[in-house]
Amino acid sequence: MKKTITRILSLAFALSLLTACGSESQTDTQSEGSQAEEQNESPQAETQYINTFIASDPSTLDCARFLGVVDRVILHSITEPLTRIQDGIVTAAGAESWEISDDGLTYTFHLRENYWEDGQKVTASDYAYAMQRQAAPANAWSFASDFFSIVNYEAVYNGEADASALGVTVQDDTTLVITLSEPNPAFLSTVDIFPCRQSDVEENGDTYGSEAGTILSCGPFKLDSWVHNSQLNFSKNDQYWDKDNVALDRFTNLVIDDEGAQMASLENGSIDYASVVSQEYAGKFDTREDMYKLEMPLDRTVMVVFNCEDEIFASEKIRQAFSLALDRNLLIEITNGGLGTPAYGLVPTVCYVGDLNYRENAPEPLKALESTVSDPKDLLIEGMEEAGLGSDPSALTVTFTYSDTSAKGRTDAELYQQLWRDLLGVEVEIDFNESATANIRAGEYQVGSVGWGSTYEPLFQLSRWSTGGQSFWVNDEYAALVAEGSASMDEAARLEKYLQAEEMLVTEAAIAPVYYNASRTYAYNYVGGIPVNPFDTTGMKTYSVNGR
Amino acid sequence: MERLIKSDFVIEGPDKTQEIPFDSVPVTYGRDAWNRFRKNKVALTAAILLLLLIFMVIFGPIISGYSITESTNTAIRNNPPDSKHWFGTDTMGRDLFNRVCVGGRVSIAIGFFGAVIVTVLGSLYGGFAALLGGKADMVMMRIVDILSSIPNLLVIILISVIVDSKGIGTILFAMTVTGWCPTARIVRSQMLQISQSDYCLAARLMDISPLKIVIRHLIPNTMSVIIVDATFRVPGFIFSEAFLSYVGLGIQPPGTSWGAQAAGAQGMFQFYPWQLLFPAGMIALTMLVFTLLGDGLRDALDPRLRR
Amino acid sequence: MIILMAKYILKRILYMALILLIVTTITFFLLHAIPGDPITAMVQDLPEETRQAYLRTYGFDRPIIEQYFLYIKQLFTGDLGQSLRYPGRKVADIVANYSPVSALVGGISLVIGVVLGLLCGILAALKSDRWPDRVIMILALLGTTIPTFVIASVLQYALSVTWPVFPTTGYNGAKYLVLPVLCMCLGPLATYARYMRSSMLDVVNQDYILTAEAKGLSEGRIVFKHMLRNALLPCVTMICVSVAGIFSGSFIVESIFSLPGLGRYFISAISDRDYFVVLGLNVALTGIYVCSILVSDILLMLLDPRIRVKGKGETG
Repeated sequence: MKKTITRILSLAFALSLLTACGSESQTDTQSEGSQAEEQNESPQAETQYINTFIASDPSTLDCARFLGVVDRVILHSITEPLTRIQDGIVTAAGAESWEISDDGLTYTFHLRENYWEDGQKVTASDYAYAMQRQAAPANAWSFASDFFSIVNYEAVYNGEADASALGVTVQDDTTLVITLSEPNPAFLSTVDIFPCRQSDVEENGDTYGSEAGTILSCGPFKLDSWVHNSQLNFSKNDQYWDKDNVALDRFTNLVIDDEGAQMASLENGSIDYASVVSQEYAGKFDTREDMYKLEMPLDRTVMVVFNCEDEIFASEKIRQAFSLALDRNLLIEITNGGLGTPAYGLVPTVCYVGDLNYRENAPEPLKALESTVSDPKDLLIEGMEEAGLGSDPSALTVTFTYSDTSAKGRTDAELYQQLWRDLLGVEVEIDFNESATANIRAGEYQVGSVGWGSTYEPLFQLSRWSTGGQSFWVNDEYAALVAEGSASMDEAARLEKYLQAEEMLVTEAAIAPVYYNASRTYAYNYVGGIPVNPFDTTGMKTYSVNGR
Repeated sequence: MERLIKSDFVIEGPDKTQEIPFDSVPVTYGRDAWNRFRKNKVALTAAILLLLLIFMVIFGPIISGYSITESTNTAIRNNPPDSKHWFGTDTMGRDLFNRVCVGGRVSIAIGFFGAVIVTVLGSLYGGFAALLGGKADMVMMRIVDILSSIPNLLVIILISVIVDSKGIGTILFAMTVTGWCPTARIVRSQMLQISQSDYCLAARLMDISPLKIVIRHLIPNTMSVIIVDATFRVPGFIFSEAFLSYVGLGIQPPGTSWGAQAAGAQGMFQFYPWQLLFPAGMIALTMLVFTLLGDGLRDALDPRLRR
Repeated sequence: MIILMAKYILKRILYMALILLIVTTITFFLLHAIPGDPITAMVQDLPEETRQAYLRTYGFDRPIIEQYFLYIKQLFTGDLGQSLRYPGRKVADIVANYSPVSALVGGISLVIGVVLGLLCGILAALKSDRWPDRVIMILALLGTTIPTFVIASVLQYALSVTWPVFPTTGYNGAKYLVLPVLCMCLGPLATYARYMRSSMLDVVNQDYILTAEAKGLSEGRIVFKHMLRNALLPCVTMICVSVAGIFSGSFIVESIFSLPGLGRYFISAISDRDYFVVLGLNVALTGIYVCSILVSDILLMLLDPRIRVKGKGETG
């Protein structure tokens, strides 16, 4: 349950550390049974299969009710979104082409000829229907906020408008028009527009997407069987428009939540590739000649948030002292198996503004602050005195809220505790709590640890703090900068606003960024086509097996 | 057999001139039990081992020379056992022997106090049910039926999740809140059995006051059952705490326990086997010791085994 | 006698229904005492309006008492509700599909554990206080003294990686059950070994064994005809309760070996705040438990002539 309890909290969180961009998250176990089965088939079929794992059972494969990243990655394999991000570029998929109006508000998609696995054509209304379901408040779809720039989307989602008011129009069977209420240069790089057929949903009712028989595929693969909490088996979809570019005949996702079991499965070849967090296992797999290693930066910033409404952390200097006291390299080394880059800013290294890489064009704001402070303890005492808290750090007790209650999580949190204790001389208590994330959201905390994912453009990451975010940090100037930036269609101007905003957030220490996460995948040499871009949405489409 | 009712008998009272000293019975019983226990080598070894374990967790940190609140030392993370660190070091570079001793305090305390709490609660409850009898007894036992029908694990986890702080107190509370039910049943049935026994009847016939019967006969004769039960409950609590730790609901840092240490080392055992071996070995040893001790005590205290 | 028995059983069944209702009530209120709500536990970054809309959909915005009566009403129509964490999965289906997996693994483990345990117990009792007794008992105990998660992951590593004999995880046939069963039979083995041993020793001291010895019966006859039969009697009760336990599965073993059993569902549902799954599984598992107690009482009544039906049935 260590893993399970945390798993829950972690749909957008700890779990995504393992599985963040999806593709590297999967590993799986070769079942003897299915292997034998495969060997009975044609010679080609003998090798073109892959076993991977997922850390938890998918919630549902209903595109309007799924909850987490794991589920989304599977949907990338079994349905065909209008566009996919491939090799870091928005690529035509379900749509053959599209036009964007000059004001950036109207997107017209021309669908290509693609079929559901039962031979029926995929139509524009399938996409429109899916979007209406996703916006329906009763489904409380967790990815809906990505779509808020569509006309009336937010109102529909919040139950203030009827689904028909949505800015999505079916012009004819192969033409879909989406209207935005404001220009959003990041729109296509942020959203997945999945199709779903009304008749399937109505036929299956509530069970749609919850079992193998209830959901049809129009993507590269179809779901053959699903044993909950154990495994999902997929095979190639012959009706798929691009089937000639799909190498795999089948793949299996094994649901393995115990880390030891995941690593054991990779070690004995039960699964063909896996992301490896622990350095010890990495060291072991490094020595394997039949494996290779893939390292890639992720879209996730792990950070410490301060509750600015708290008596102690209302003080900017105290927050800065806590932020500067963190030895980021040590934290990466110990809490994340040496993976990741120390973070002195909010936006991770993989984000782009248009064609401009964000971090390459932005100095990290915390570094500038660090160079002006020789000892964070002095800063702390200064802050304490200003806030009337005395001048003795050891009299200060703060509570660090941490959501990962697993054994590893505990040691990780202890390291933070130790760092603050040693460098600042303050007393730190740790509050391990499965509902930590909820508590932090509700402002019932002092210092907390969270990780936030980003999208291709950093807007999503930055706008989270426009209303104070979890830090309850109120700064109108910041909100204005983010809003101005996001409305600007010019890359350089957008980037400039974002940079200023980020600098405010980090130097005023509403948050203390700790590291930009990264992942490390080990795969057997015969596995090819693993995408290395964290925003990639091709699912298992590009995978192949060469000389198993 | 027809029931004997009070009116069938005429109480003549004891012959004060030739009073037999009943009081000596429990004393010889205790001595007899001790003699039998002493001859049971397995149980005796277990008792000695237990004393050693307790000694170790109390004085270990002094012997090892590392402080209890020892800070992390990243230079010596995950070192195997050597002359400086007898059990090696943990992932944070702390002396594992020291950690195991500190963790042992928590584990043994949870086992011990858990057993004490359920025993005291269960004995009082079961005892009163048996003594009150009739309707009160029935209602009390129905409550026990209901409480013990709730899956134990559900209760423990629910309470751990509901109660925010996860100190020893919360864990003990979660584990004992329905944990006393089996003890109550055992005590009640033992009490009923004894009060219907021939010697209690005899005592009643001799007009010995009910209070004295309770004190002289019911309690001492139930005591053996209670002690044995308590001994067997100790390992259960230690084990449950280990499970909670695996699930992430166990004792929280900076506190630690054997269960927490074993759960933490489980994923990495092929690299740092000693980090798993020592805490898990300590749990195993403690469990074994208490079980064997309980078996020995039961054999020693069972009056039927007197020959 | 039969009428008396039927009346007794009917009474017990009504009583069981009452227990189920009370247990469900307690669980319901405990569950709702957990801070946070299901949707926040599942999705972090949800706008407040949507959160409210979601809570409304499932009626979580109503007063707790009203929610309670709605749930009980729903329960009486035989509907256990739907999972919140896994939209579209009915609790009744979860029980129907996954308890057989837990029961299969648990059942095999129980049979192996009980048979081996009883054998160990008998052997130990016959050699009581001599070295075979001690060796057998300590060996039987060893398995239960090590935390299950330690045994499971060490076994998994040893027998699927170091010596790749058995599959690491999954549920695709007999081969996949070996390691889980190995982990799970240790508990019953130790329990029944100890229980049988002490039960045998109790019987040895009974007068009727003395009588049998005095009659000059052979030792084999005494052991099989008199001791075993009487010593096994108390074990019957225990086996019934153990059988009830197998349906709930083992969270640890199911997690480590990725078995699609109830144990994983149950525990993760609590942390998921998946109210209906927890309540539904709780109803099912408690139901199985109280039924098993009834069965064990009836069995005991049929097997042991000393126990007779009385007006007030003793339970437990």
